[in-house]
This record gives sequence, C-alpha cells and structure tokens, in this order.
Amino acid sequence: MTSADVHTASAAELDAMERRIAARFMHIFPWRMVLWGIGNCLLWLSLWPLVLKGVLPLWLGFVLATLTIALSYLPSHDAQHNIIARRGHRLRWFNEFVGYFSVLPLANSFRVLRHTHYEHHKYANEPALDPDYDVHAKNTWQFLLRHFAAPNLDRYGETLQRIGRTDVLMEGILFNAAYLLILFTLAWSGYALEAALLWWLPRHLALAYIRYYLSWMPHHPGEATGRYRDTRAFKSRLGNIGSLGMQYHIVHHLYPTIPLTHTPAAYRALKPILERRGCDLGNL
Amino acid sequence: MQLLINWIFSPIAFSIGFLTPLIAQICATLDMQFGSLPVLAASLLIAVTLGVVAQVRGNWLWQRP
Repeated sequence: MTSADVHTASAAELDAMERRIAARFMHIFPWRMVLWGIGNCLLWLSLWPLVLKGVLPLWLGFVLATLTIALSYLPSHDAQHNIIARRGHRLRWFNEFVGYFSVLPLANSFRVLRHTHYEHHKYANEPALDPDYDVHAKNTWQFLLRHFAAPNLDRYGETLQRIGRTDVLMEGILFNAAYLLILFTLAWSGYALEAALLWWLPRHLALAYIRYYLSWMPHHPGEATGRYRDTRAFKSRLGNIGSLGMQYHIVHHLYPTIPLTHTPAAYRALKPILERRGCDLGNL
Repeated sequence: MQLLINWIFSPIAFSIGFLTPLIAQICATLDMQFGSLPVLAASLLIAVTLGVVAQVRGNWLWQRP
C-alpha cells in the first residue's frame, strides 16, 4: 500500500484496506499481557508478607504498591475484549481467570469492568450513555479536582441497571464490600497504616492515573462522537509506557481485539488511512 | 439488604471501620497524646466527625456540584 493508493482509493477500497491491515494484528495470543497480569498481581500480593514481616520498609511497599496497582488494569482490559481466548475457545477459562486475577489489587469485578467498558465503546463521548463520560474536564488540573474532590461513583451502577445486568452490579457490590471488610479487618487488627499504604491510598492514586490516561487523555475534549472522531492519538511527555500505551488508543477503539502490545505497530501501519479519514492524530 | 449495603458503603462506616484505627495508629507512631482522653477515643471522635461531615455533604473532600 502506497500513500498514492490511500489518497486515490474509493471509500469502499479504503474500508477494505483498513480491515486488511488491522487483521494482521488480530488473533495473536497476548502472552506478554498474560505474564504481566499474573506476575504483576503476584508482586502486589507478595508486598503484604514482605512488609508485615519487616523485610521491606513500608515506604518502599507504598511505592511498589502504587506502581503495581496502576499496572493492574490493562491485562484485564485485553481479557475484557476476549483477546486471550474468545467465547467457546478451550482456553476461555484462562481469559476469564486473567481478567479477574489481574484486577484484584483494584478491588474491582472483572465483569463490571467488561460490561461498562463495552458501553463506553458503544457510546464514547455521549454524555448520557458513556459510563466514562464524567472524567471529561477542561485540563489536567480540572480532571484531578473532579476525580479526587467530586467523583461520581454511581455511573457504572447506573449503566449496569440501564442494560439490565443487575447480576453483574451485585457482583460489583460484593467485590467492593469484600474490599472494605478486608480493609476494616486489617485496620482493627493493628495494620491500619499497612492497609492504607499498600492498598487504600495506592488504589486511589492508581485509579486517578488509569482514568487520566485511559479515559480522559485519548477522548479529550470529549465532544466528538463517531468511529473516527471519538478517540484521538497523542504524544505523551511520559512516553508510551509512562502513558500506559494509550498514545495509540485510537487503534483500540477502531479494532478492540488487537492486543495492547501490538497497537503501536498497528497504528504505524494504519496511519496513512487514519490521516485520510481526518482523525485527530496529534503530533504522533 | 439495601439497608446493609447502604451502611457498609457509608462514610460513617468507613470512618469507624478504617479511619479510626488508622488515626489511632498514626497518633501512636507519632507519640501524640490528647490529655486524659485515650488515643482510640480521640481517634474515634475525629474520624466520626469527618464521616458525619462527608455523609451530609455527599463527599469526603468537596461538595459535589
């Protein structure tokens, strides 16, 4: 495919070209995401005995906990899109296991994340229907203010009720209740500081970081809707790893079954087509 | 059931369940005293006050717009 091909192609040819390129990056087993999801959660779990036994200082445990919790979402995100194994595949159970296990540090139900995330894909940037719409703010400072000072925590519950998945909502309530009961038990057993610095505070910081890079940055300013308009590419000052791979989030919204680790290559291959379609590619 | 769920997720439950022992542990670490008031009682007083304020305002840090 040359640049001239892209510029002279009819709409139908362009669609076909786009799908052909994207298909090269699909149906790939995301082994790096699997290792990341399982390894990262085990690392976070290991912080507890290491800190409680005094092997690791609490301040270092806090730093590592914040890092691991911030990294816990993305492997589950690949599982949400059935990238590890689709429905009916013999490894389907493994897809669901990675989905649940990797987000344990976030104290979130995998199914809640999956069903609300599908609604986000369907209705990205639509004020009434996008479950992540509330993150939108004019700038980073406004985002942080909204996230920490006035979060709307009811949005996912409202979405699950709207789509008739009260069973999933119930699972989410159980996960959150279990999280609180573990925190309360640890705190009243004499480990309040440890619980605060290995889970409670790191989780809040990680959630802000995840929501900033996954929900706010790629959809900012949150006004455009439509397949080629609701998500943008951007160049992050923290680089691709520091921004959780979200510089290329536009590829994910167009082709959600491309593994996160392959979105940069897919973006480079699709870029001429995305340019012709008038997508917002920032300066990436 | 609804009542139990509302209670578990209320700021007051969080203040009693988590903030009280957390404040007490911080005070003990910093060797803080509250006169004749035991540290745990003072921590409970501080935590529940914060919890009641959060319950009334609907948020721990800010009034939701």
